Amino acid sequence: MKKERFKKGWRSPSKSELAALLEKCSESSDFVTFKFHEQSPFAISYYQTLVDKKVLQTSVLDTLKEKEKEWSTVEEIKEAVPIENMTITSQISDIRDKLMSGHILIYKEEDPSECLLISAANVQARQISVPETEYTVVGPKESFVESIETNVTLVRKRLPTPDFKTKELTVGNVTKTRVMVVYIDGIVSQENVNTVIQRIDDITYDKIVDASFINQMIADNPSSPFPQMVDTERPDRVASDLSEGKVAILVDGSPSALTGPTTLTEFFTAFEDYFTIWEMATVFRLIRLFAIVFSVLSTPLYVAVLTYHYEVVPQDVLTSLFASRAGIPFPPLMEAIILELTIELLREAGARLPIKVGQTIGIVGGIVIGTAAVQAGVTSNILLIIVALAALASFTTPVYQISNAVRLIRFPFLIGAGLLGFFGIAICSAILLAHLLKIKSLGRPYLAPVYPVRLKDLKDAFIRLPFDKQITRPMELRPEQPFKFRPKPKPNTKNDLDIDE
Amino acid sequence: MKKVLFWTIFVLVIVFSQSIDPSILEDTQLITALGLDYVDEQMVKGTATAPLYPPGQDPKPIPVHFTATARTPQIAVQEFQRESQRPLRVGRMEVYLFSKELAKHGIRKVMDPAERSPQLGRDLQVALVDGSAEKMLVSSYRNGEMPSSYIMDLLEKNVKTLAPSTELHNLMNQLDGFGQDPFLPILEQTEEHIRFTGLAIFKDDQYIDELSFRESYLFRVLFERSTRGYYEVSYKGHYVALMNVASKPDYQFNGPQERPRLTIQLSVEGRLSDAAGLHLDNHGEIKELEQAWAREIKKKTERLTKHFQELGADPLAIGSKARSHYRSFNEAKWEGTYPTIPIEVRVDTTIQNTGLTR
Amino acid sequence: MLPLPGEDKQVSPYLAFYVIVTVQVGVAILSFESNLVKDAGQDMWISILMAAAATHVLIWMTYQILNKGENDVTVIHRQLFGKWIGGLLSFLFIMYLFMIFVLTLRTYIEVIQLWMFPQIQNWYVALIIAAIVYLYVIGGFRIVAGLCVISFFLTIPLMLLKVFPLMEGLITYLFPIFDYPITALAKAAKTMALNYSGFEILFFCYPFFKQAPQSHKWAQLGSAASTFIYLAAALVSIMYFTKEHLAEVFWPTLTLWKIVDLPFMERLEYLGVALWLFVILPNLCLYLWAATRGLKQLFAIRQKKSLVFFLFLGVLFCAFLREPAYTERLLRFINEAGLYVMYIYIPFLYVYQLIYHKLRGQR
Repeated sequence: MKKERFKKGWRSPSKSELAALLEKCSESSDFVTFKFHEQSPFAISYYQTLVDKKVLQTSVLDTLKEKEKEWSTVEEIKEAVPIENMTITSQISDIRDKLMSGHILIYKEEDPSECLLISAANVQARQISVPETEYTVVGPKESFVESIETNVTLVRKRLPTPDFKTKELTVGNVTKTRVMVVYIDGIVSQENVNTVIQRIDDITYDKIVDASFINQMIADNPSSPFPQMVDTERPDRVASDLSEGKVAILVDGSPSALTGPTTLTEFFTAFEDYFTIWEMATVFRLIRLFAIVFSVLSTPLYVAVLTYHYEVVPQDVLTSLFASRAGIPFPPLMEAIILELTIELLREAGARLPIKVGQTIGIVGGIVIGTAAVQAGVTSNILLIIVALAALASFTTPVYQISNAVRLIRFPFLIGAGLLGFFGIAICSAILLAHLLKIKSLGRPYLAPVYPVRLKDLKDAFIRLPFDKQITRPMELRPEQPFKFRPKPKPNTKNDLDIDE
Repeated sequence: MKKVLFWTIFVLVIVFSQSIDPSILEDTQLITALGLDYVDEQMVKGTATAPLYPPGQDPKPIPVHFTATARTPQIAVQEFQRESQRPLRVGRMEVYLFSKELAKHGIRKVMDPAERSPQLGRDLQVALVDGSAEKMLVSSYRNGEMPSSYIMDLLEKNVKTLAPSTELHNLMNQLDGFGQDPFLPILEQTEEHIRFTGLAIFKDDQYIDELSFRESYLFRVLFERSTRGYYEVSYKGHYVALMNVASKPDYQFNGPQERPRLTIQLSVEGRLSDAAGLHLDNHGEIKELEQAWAREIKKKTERLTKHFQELGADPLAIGSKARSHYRSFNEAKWEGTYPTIPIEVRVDTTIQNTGLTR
Repeated sequence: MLPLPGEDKQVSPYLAFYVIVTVQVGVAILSFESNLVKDAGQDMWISILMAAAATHVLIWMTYQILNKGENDVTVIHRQLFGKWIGGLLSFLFIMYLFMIFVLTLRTYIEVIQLWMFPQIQNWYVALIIAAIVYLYVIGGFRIVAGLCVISFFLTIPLMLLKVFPLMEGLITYLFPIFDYPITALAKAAKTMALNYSGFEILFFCYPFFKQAPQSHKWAQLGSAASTFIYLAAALVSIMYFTKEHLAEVFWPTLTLWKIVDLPFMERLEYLGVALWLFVILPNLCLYLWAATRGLKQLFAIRQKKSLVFFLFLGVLFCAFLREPAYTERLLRFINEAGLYVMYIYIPFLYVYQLIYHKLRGQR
């Protein structure tokens, strides 16, 4: 079989368009065009790098070779080739897109009005692996990969219902990323689906590399540090969210899915909460919530107390505070900012470096720098404890994005505390609260179920009640089917049960 | 417009924040105790303890004292400022002492700044010094503690079980409130320690008499519900110690407002803790001991109330209780009525057990 | 007739509860006991209940007026009194709300100056708070109502702190009950009635509730809840202080917090003063929101513009109201005006509207 460079000189407009396209493509060295033999009217074109060699060889070329002389139209070829996904089209844009996504183009050189496109994409995907950022001890251990097909499969096999629907969109005028909006019809509020689709349609950007791009672009308030959709790598979490009436977005090339509308409280719920008994889950949730508050407020409170409000410190604590602060050259605000920045530095360094080196840096930074700083009298050891605890507490968030937000908002609080003490902290809280009240997630209030007050939704917000109490879906999602299940009527024996039974 | 406004306010807030005077902890010296001595009608001599904390891992605070004479305590603090290394702050003051001499001339004047200041806590411990407050604060003691924290711990943790609490709040209530007079613990400096010697009784804001340490304890039993503490009872020639498990006074007024009669029903539960030489075998004997105990308390407490009436001082807040009891109470007449009302103490004692042995 | 606000701007009727509680429990709760104790002594709780009962009736009247008018007070005024007199009344009402705004702000600044930063200038605090108020009011009534909800829940822990003084308090100070003559109690009730003011805000936010007549029961419940809060505060203060001392203390509630002694923190009043921001903030926002909304209804001024103007004016007022004597005078004036608005004007409007509708019905 000999390859042949494509020749110029077409007559029909369609012909010339196709020629122009193919010429453009052939400027890449991995694009090939050839004929079966000299007399054949058909030419085959494809990107070597995108096409699965095995499919090409066994299904396409072998079939074509069998009855070499007999082909006269592309329809005949389509009949003969044993591959499911084939289309015949004359749309040039269609041809271009399909070529770029790993299709084989077969066309009549003389009359390219109809072109056959055979799907033979060479999908290079990572194996499904264990979730890393949202690892749980109990429960499924599958996580999304970079291939959108695999990801849809992972979700669909958990939701075996024809109501589970996917809508594919393409965004990014260079990357042409495939994005799928998935939802369960009949549960989800169609309004939410339309919002998502509308917003994704409105995206005008050249490259969409990851789901986080979409997250930022369709956010209601794009400059808020708070993520307005949950970013998860767990297909089970996505399936569960979908069945609550949420919408999920899967992005080709991204190992994470976005689900929404969401609320602030959802960022403190780990999926693991559903794998443990409800009392425990409730306690852990409250601990997490406390940890976040602590993480934001502890250092500012230290600064406020040391700068203005020495009166609030009990005498016993005062002595050790005095002892640790004495001889430190910086004022408390500066000391705290330096230490917070050091922690951020360690965090950044640890995140950028390879895992093993990162660990070493963590140990070196944490232990060596910490003790050295205290011994050198640059910082007080009490602040060191507070800052380290605050950093630790900010990691308890189950969703990574929110811990970044917590990291960020700590600094305005610190400055507020340094300027006006407790009053400054209150001012910062008021500003933060104003911001949180204004944020919406896909048009739904972000602070629900606290505001607007939805007592029913509190069953799965700060606390998690047992499953038999979770009868309704969250109201703030406005689901079309508000009931998760119909509770079976229990035989009423409880009242007359006596101890001797 | 919005952005311009925002940044203007932001810049203004940052720039003018300088007008606020911070009190960074280690750059200040906190006065932990203030003692006042009498100089003359006008002047008081103030002594302050303001410890300095040297840097280091486990530092011992260095006691620093300032003494100055001024017309008011607040001005005295200002005078200390002339000598101190760092700005002085009063917000963490724990102990407020004054000498007996000063108390005789009235304490309202010296308590005013303490009441007025938003920085001071309401749990400031106030006490009287038998002798010189200055000497008590500048001396060093056997336990090596700062005098202020020594006095604080003594008053807050020990004296509390022997006498009613005398925090600033109670004192202010007693000074301002109708039908009650303040009482304060008296501290005395021994060679190596500070000792609680009893309660000072005030009439309005002037010191007039004092109770001994044992009387103070009885006073506490009369004044409020109490636990802890020991009674000494003489019984059949032996001295018996009884532990107070729980005691509760109940004030009952009888008769019309013009001629009220007061009965203080005192129920005490105790446990025998020291009865060398006695063998309390049967129930009757324990009953007898209970009665002896009740007689003892009755005798002593009635003597106490009688004494208060003679002094015209009302530390037991009988006037306030009478006002709560009688409708449309005539406050003006009470001062005349108080010394004349018959007060009876009825004691009901119970011995829970006799300890581990009979 | 001006159009009602759109569906998406409206909030659920139950939020009337939070709006009323937060607007009634303002900066006054820090100091009201010492004003009441002078007249009613330990019986001040009766005065509180009396004032509460009157307030419930007034809220009922307010709702009767609003239900008939089916819009806010500016529209009702125009309907009843014509364009000019009605407009003037509305304008006076707006000015009244604005003056309460200034006074609340000024009082809070005073607390900050007393407790935290004696050197801090009036305009500095006023400017900061004005900026925050701007942030909230610009978000519309929905955001302001949200602030009310959050503020209500934030202040519950502050109420729990009362347990500490309660443990030190004496029950005997509460007796004898009904010892004061009814005239003295009524006088104290009159003082107390002012603390219940703020529900006038309903005249403006009524059209912002979905199915507005349904919010009536929530508003009444809200008023009952503030009564509960006031009662709890009053009872604790009576038990903790002697009457004579309580009359001397300026800020009894803040003084109460001084006693709180947690193992890691003492002197909670410093934290309380800061957290109190969340109690006065809904007040400030509601008053200013109502004032700007009223101006919009009257003169069709964009709320964004009048908001900035009002805030600017408020900061100026606070900057120049430095002497306590002036503040006192303003306070007395507002109190007087508040009494007229609540106890003369609302009943008058109610009766006038009744007659008006009857006459028109006959015609």
